Amino acid sequence: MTTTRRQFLRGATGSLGFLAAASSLPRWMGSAHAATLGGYAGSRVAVCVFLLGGNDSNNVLVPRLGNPYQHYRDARNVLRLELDQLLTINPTGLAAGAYGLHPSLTKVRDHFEQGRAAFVCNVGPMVLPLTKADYTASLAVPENLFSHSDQQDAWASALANPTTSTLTSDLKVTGWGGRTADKLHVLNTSTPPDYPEVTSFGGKQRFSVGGTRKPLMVAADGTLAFRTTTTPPSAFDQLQSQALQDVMGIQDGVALEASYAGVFGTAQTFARARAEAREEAWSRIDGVTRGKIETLFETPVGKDRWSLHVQLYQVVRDLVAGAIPAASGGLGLKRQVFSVGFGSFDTHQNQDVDHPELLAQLDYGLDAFQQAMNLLELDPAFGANAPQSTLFTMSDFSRTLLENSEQGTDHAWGGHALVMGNRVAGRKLYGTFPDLDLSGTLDGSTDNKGRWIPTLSVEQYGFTLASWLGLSTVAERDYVFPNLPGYVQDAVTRGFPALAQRYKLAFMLPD
Amino acid sequence: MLRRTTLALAFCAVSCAEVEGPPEQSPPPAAALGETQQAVDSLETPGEANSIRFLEQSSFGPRLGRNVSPAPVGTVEHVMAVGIPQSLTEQFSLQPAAPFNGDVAAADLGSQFFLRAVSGEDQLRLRVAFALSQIFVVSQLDIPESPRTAYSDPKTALAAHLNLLSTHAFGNFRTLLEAVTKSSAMGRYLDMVNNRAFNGAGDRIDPNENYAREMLQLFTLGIPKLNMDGTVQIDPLTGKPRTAYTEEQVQAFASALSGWTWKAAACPAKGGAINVPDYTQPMMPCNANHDERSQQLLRGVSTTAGGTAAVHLQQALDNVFNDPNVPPFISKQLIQHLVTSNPTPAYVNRVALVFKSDANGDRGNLMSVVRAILEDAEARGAQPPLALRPGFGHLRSPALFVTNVVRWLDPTLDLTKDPGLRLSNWSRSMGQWVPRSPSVFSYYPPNAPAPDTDGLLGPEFAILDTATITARANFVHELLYTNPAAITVDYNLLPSDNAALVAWLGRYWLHGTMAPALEQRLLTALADPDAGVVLRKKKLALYLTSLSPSFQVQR
Repeated sequence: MTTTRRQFLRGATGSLGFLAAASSLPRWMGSAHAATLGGYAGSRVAVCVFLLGGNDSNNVLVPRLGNPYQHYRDARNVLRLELDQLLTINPTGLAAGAYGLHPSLTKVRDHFEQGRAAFVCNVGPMVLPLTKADYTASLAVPENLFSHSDQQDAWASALANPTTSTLTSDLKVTGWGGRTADKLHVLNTSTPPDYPEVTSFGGKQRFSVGGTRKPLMVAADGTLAFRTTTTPPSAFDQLQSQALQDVMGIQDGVALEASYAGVFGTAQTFARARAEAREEAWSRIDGVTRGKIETLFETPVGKDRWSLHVQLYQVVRDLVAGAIPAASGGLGLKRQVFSVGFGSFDTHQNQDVDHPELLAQLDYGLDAFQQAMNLLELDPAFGANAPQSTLFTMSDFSRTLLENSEQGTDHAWGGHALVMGNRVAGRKLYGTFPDLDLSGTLDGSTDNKGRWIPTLSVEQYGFTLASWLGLSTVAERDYVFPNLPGYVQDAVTRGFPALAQRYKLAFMLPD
Repeated sequence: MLRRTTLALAFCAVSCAEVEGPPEQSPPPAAALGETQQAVDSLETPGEANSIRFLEQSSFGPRLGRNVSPAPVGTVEHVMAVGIPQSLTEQFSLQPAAPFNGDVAAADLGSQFFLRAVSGEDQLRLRVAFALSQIFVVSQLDIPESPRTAYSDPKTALAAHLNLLSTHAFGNFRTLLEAVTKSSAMGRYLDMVNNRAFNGAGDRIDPNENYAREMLQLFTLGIPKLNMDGTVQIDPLTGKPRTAYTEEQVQAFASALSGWTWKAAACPAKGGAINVPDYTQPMMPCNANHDERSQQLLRGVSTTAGGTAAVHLQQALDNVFNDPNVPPFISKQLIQHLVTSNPTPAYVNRVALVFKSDANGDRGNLMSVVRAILEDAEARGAQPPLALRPGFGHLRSPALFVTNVVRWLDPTLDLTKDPGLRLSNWSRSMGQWVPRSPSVFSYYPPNAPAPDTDGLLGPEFAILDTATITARANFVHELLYTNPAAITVDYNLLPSDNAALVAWLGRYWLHGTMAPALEQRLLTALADPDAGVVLRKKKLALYLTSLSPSFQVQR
């Protein structure tokens, strides 16, 4: 094959003829070592929850015992959580009550204690494993640390060195969700063909963009449809729609016009398929279950500005549409990735007021989603193949342990991420919790404010999730996470702790 | 207040409801225009296409004079009559009919913005201020309400911010930077207000770095060190880009800019704060909360040891203003907002040199910079230079898409029905909710790539996805087919004959660049029996043309 699939699609986006042609290509073409459904024959989805602005995970997960708690107190005068405020958790392998969660996270605490949630500690963008000396000498330090946009991109792309990386420029602007979709695409024999693996209602756009696979971006309220003058569309509407489709193919030899037309083609093709599949698939779910799910996601009184639960409700609707087989009116997708997110985590000021509210929104949305998944697991529509979900958080960075003068905290680096789902090996902390002692050696911090040098990389975190979805071969791994082999190799060569030497973490249950 | 900003608007006297009735007969009004096309297309005597392009770049959309004599300011005919340089001179002196109004009772600021954009005379001032608002970002979404003020804090703050940018749009960059730095809206947005160098016990603490960092990264320097032509400087030893500033310099600027608070009768004690916001005045300096020590700024320059908050602010801003990164960093972004996403390095260089020193030897004269951008050979002519055409232009941002469509259609706006809010909500649906950018990185970042182009920039594409591109189509659909009461289009102003209609759209909306294939596809659609009556055909042609790639990318 002399033209890549991508060039093929690119050259033909002006008309929809490409869809029919693409569907007739063998699924394995160009993917000799393919991703595998091996783990699960039913539908699996991963849901990225992006906490935009930099979540202060120092106040999400707090050590409760002995010196660590005292060190935490020492750094935080206004923002500290007292022992009686912390929600005690009992992670496997640690002393009882060794850690506590922020008081807003009551439902997350329950899911954690019931084994459905885990924390991945001090994870962040990395190129190579770093000691403090490496950091001080500026060796392999991620580009533009502490900058929102760059660090959001680093998390979303799993590429902390976009300038110096030898990756081609078109892949540098993709995300690891989208690149995972590039490789999982062979597993999805959807109707219509080539339905996007990734659907985004919010979060960081780059995460969803693949090299060959483009995401379906949808408004947070779930709407994606072209207006017509009548319902159902009249002959005039069909004439107008067809003419517009043709007009998109006329691009004057101008590159940006082709870019625009490409986005338009994706939207026009899949908007209607999605709308129809959502309605049809949802009707296959037991009415009582549907009612319970709708109730779970109702907006709490006075929380009209909350958005996460609105987005996660749409994820439920779209994952059901994806999981119901095409023969029953669904899309028949085996693997999907979703992106949601919400902002205002940049708590330089008044964190004591704002952060609890943000975490309350997180707690509410995550709990509603997990409960909905628990209900769907029992729904007869899926038989033995109920959809499985793993929800995971990302954020620009964590924040300084040392509070600033305005009841706030500033930009930092490594932080704690949350994973939740029935396939998570929960009630556990993974990774190494940082040393919070700001009067000590500061070996684990860039400076005396408590900006943790990550001891796990975004790639290790991401690859664990991507392999749960079905990424299998070394080539696939290195395509989606190009810095991961070098990271692990360097950790081995220079004798970093065992965790740094692993490609994958243990927070997903084995299949 | 809205009524005072109106210029060429008429009220719907009786009924704005439109009946899709029998075909109209009225002839196209501007048939004689082509005869005035100049043989020599120069700055002083620009042709019609060149003049339309100029108005696409320098206003919120070209308008037609429609035989009004003399042709009103801002119309294609006027630009052709007086030339580009004189058009610019006129625009530089125009002032807003009224400032943005932050009163609770006033219309939403987005509504005020769009009304001024579609009907105000001071087109270039607002266009440049809008570009500046996407560099010096303050978002109405992130100014909290305070129970201590008698007004709406977010609205008052943003009205003041937009007025500040409008006032300084053609002034000096250094003056603008200082006004922004001291402004209470920015002070709150990026935490410079009440940013103290001491706690209540009198011990030194590290001030908040937020404003210092974003001022360096987004308002003045950017992250990599730049050549004058906007290209990135690479360190030959490491092969990596040189950076424009260090972490230590961020902290130095944070210290140098510490000690400012809300305007009040007196400063608080050391470590204390003023807790009553005042968004009607700039912040004031309080030396008790200022880090008086000398700070190492850029290029080896230090602030004076023992200096006051006010003195250190001047030294810090002078230092950053004089950095060689500022001219290319700001010039390139202004070019991207006005003309093209991918200017050649030579174009950036020409404009940056004017930023560095204009004809009078002034640095940072934005009036000279804007003139240099719009009079440049890369921006002028009936079409972009031939060799640059494949990579030229920029996707119309949602706001510009809305205003360009509306100004071409020249509708009657019913000011009792808040047409500006309608326009603003359409822009919002496409991902640009004025003045409420989702973050300090504005609606879209200047370095965002255009999809599938292998390296071209396309900042506006950062907010173009399946959802917002659907919203683009739905905006046009709603405007044309639901006949919004606040915005009444007189379709009699368009030619009724199919061929004349398509020719008219090609000549004006696409300034003579309509490809034969597009022309043919439109004619085929209009000739289809399902196209319906003449009015329906006009709407069909408008829908297809406005959403065509040829129109969506401003060239």
